[in-house]
Amino acid sequence: MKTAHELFNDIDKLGEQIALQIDSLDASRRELDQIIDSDPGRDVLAKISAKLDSTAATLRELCQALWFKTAGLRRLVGRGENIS
Amino acid sequence: MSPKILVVEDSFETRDSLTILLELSGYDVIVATDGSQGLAKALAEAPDLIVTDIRLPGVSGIDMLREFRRNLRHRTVPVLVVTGYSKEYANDAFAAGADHVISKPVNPEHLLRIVSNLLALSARARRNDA
Repeated sequence: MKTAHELFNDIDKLGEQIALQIDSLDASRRELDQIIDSDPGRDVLAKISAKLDSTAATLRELCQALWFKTAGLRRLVGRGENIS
Repeated sequence: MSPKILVVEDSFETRDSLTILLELSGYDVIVATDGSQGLAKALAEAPDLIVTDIRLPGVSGIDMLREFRRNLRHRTVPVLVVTGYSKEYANDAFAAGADHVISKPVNPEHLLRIVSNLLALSARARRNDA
């Protein structure tokens, strides 16, 4: 069975993978922005780009909150507080 | 007395979780949810450190910081900008007076090390000024 310490490390690694995916999403959005002006479907592409930007920003906030809460929980467990 | 940190953040989840983490790490925390409130609390509460987002409703984190730095008394209060924006906005934050800029999501232990370092540097600067 895994220890609490190992589970916290697992959560940290999952967070790191999510962060990489957000960076990838941002990179795709930047690529899209580079070709929008020369594309006849620029209005639709601009909406898609804005949606990608907003989704990436929301994911960053959620991932950040997950990491902060995990770090807080790790401290409480480290102090021996009952978390049941 | 514990150092007082002002957190300016509009996202409830991030603000709430960062506040908990900072309090569990031994800091006193006050919060603001937008740039206007952040500036008012920064001027009234004299925090030892400000942690702020850039993208805030109304007055942005950059404008808030620029206004805060206008007063000479506040030049030595360290400001850490934690942003969901990509790195191209870091230059704007530094130009407005940020001491450090990091992108979300940031590793919590890394953020706490930066907070501790900025507070130590600021305390040293205040001692030298005295």
